[in-house]
Amino acid sequence: MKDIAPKMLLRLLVGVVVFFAANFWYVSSGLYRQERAKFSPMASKLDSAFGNGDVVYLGESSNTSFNPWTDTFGYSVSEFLQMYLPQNRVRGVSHDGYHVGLFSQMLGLMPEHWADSGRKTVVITVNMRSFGPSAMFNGNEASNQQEAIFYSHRTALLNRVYVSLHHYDNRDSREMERAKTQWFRTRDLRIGGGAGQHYGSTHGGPGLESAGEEWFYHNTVKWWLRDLQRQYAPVSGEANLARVMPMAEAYLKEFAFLLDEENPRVQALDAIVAKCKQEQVNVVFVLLMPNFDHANRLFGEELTQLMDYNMDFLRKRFAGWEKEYDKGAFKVGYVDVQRLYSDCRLGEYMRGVSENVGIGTVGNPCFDWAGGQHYTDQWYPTEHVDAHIRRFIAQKTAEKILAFQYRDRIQTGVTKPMVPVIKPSINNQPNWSIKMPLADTCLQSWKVFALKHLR
Amino acid sequence: MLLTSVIDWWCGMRVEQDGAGGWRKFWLWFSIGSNLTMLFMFKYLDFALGDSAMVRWMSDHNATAWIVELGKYTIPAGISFYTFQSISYVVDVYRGQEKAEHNLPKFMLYVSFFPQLVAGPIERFGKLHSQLFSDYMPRWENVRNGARLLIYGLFLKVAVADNLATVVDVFYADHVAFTQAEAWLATFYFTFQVYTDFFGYSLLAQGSALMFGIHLMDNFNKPFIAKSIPEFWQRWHISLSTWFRDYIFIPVGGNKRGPWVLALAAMLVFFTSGLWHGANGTMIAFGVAQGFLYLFDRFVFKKLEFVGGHFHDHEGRLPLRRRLWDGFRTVKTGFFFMMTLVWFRSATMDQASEVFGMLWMPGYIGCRLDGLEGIAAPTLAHGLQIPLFLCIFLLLDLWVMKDRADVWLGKFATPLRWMIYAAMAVSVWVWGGAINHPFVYFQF
Repeated sequence: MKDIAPKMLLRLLVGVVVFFAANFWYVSSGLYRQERAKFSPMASKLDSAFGNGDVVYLGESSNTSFNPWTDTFGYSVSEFLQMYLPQNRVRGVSHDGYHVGLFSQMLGLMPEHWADSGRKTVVITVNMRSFGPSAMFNGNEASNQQEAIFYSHRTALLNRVYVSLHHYDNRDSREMERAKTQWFRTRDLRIGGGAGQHYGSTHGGPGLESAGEEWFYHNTVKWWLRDLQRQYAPVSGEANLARVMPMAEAYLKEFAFLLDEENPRVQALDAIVAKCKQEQVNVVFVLLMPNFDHANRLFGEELTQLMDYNMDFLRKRFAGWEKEYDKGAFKVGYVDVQRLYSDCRLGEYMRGVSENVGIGTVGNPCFDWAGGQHYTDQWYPTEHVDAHIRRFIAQKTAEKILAFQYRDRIQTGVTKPMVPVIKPSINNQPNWSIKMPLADTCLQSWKVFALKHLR
Repeated sequence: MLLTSVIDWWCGMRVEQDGAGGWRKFWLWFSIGSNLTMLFMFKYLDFALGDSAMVRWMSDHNATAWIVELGKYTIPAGISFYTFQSISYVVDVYRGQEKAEHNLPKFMLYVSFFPQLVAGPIERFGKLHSQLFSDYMPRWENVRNGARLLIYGLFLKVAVADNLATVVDVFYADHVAFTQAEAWLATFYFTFQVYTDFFGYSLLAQGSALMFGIHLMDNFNKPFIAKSIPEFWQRWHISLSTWFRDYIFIPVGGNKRGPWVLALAAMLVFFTSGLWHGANGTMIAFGVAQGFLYLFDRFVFKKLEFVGGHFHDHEGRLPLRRRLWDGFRTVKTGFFFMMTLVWFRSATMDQASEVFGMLWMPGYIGCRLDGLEGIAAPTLAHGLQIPLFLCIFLLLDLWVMKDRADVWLGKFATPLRWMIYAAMAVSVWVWGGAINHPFVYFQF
């Protein structure tokens, strides 16, 4: 061994020299720039955003999605935000299907001492749905993770080596499908471990209702889906059950889960706050509002209580940070779109200055959520909202950022924002013939599986 | 693997201790049966049961639903390889060729030796066991040669196979969108993708083992210079071919009992080989097609040998006519193998039929109207490395490299050798295939 060690060390040393020589050539030849643009188009957008922006808005598709036929304005949330913050340079970076796990990695491209040149803020959109198994075990996740390799300032060639050797979460669609199926089968949906009456193996068998039990909640998504396949699900409304089935299935898979501390996306939130604190960059979380209205129409309280639980889980976390970092230079804030919007509309309604438009629907007199007509994807479970709500999100985010910059505001004065007034309008009606245009890649295969095994 | 190891370890001892008589046979078949049952449970149960009432019943009950999921989504790493390795041990003990291992951990190390666990080579007990437990003395030659095999294996996998996979995957994801020329290109590329992928893995396994002083068998020996399918299978996946030869072909009758028994044994071997590769119709079709090609070469094409004329001229050299004939046979063998790989790569029999249609229907232009953009016309920056690396590999494999990679590299002067290392390393670092593509044989 004594004669082997020096020889190995010498060769390793030569290997390292070759590596750095290759890295020099790789960067200086411009090949890295090309490859980075090819493998990670977002990385150069992030460079530009961090280089030129005071407020960087990291968003997913809800930032930019709009309905070309009915939206009055096609502005994204970040563009509206720029209108509300004329003193700040707002830069929006958005990508379909992105989530806080990737936003956390994106902050790796934040320049060191970025905050030295003035108060900076990062806005992170938080989509509750993206914390669930359907989003986490999505077939696109491997390519997202490959792209995320470049959200780092490590040696250029090392990034490329990671791509070549697939050094990232590269589970294929089969592995993802298995993880998702396992989640659906094993994760308990009972809030607090036992509230309500739950069942699994049968649904509504003879005698259950006569026994006086009021709630028959499902223990797991698997049993719920099976019952859905058996057409026993308590779907309300007049829609034809078979036509609504794909939509109902999508809602279950997207929203029927419970958040906990072990959830990797929850841990990503912690990482975001830690990184921003380290860099002394303010952070504002924008908690998007899921389509409670339609979830309620499909499954009633059984599903909305799970969604409420998850939203509250996130709210508590954000509120805790907001309070914890209230005093220092570093600030954390959050914009609870659902609550703020409901409060706002309810207030207007109570004062009689506005019609009850876009808040409650039949069976929802308590103004808990926005009306489903504000969602532009024809009632599919996305958070894509019309210009009215996008503007509202921007307004509330701007208020939060301005509150952080209060001292600056006194010094510089506030320019009146040039924001178009958008009146809410009913711009989307339910389309029961929808063919799941944005279904996640596993949905169809699950359907085959469910048809085979869950009937 | 734990269960398989314990059963085979126990059966091996019983076979040895029970002397002559029926019990030996019982323990032998008990071992084979348990191994095959395990293999069946994980690999073939889902295929065999399909959408039966039993599967639905099992899915509906939490106590059994996990079994359905297991069969559907899970295959223990390397099950096809270590099962065959373990069976060969018990059979060898039964035949008296090996002594039973009485130490369970030692036997388990033989079954689970990490470099070759996932995708072979399928090593025999006698060869591997004696190396694993001989006195270990680290030797610089082993470390050096192992590292050389690792570098070359990595080059084959990452730079050649993964780059070819980028084209092949795009084609098979939506084959009807491509033209006839692109179908030929994808078929040609897949032939060398699967070769370099598996050859690369075998070299990585050999290299890793060699660094610990363990010599694993060569799994490939220039298969594309073979002049017939029988010769091809002596050069391709050698550890599996010899396993089939020793444990199925010869016991069934081999070539000693006339042409009919030979044909039966060959077809049985290739059918089993197809089934071993995967539980679906395409793999079985691949195996059966190989069987027919084997018999065709063995019984029909052999009769055309006279076309090649003499083997030596009056000066002892190979005559031009013979060279041309041999060249034709080599191309023919590679071409037939390439054709059967359409089944190997296709997801379904329907897809395989459609790809064959694209390849052979005269004037097939496909659905695309935008010419040969896409896979057939790679851009300079991101695509030229694909044919370039393939050409380099073919040049090395068919012509330049006469020995195994470690020996061949050792013949160069140090500066030139290090330039070759650096070129291979940079190829892997800078131009490695970006598509996430696991080793083809990991799925088996």
